[in-house]
Amino acid sequence: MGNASFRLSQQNSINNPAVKRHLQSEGFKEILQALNIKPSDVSNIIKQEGVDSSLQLKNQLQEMTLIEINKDLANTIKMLGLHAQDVVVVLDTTDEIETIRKRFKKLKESTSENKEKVKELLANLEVKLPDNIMVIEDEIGGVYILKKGFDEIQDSIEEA
Amino acid sequence: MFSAKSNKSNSPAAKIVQFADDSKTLPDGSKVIYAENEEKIVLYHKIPFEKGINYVYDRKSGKIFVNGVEGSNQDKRTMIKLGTYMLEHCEDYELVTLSIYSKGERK
Repeated sequence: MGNASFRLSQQNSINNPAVKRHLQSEGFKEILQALNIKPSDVSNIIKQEGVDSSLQLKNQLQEMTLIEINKDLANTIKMLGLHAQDVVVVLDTTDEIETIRKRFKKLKESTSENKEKVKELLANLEVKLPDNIMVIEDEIGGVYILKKGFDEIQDSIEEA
Repeated sequence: MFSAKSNKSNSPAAKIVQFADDSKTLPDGSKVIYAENEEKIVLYHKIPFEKGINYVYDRKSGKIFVNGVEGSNQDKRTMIKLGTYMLEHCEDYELVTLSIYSKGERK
């Protein structure tokens, strides 16, 4: 999966064919206008092809549910004498434990790869992070972004 | 003119999702471009030989505007239907996500 970064300025944006192509698109211009973004104010466009593999967790573990642990839940877990975890993974599955372990191993490996990709991306953006910080960017993938957006709009209909 | 830009210095002012191949259309011949920032979700729909339609959903108020005119829940459904139609007829690898950064951001 490749990514490319285009730096723009009012002087050079016209000369960059990759950016020029976007800025000449009628749809792109309409979108920028709707978002109150003036094309000449665009300073950088980061282009990411496809969908980052970290966004395909649900494809790998369709039955997976991630539960974030807040303070109340952490206290409850502690009161119950259990170990507090950052994330609890609940699997509703009839798979054999060995199969599940293999899938987790695969997931762990893919996550490690993503970490390197994210680090590379951040390095390109001149953002330095300590090695012990794991950053998972869950907004990169197009499909994921779209689904989240449409869910939000659907929720607003249900609330109305 | 960046009222819509992110408060987070490291966040893009907007993200735009579209087909990587500009010439690619949906099976009905139309094109759809999706975009969002912290304030809005925008869907641009273009049918050949017709004027493009811009669906703009305001995330704070929950209102939708179609080509600048306030719309109804039916317009929201249409927007979702178009987005779903797009998702049903594309693969991840056919899409490209463009993160737009504004002047003054750390990019």
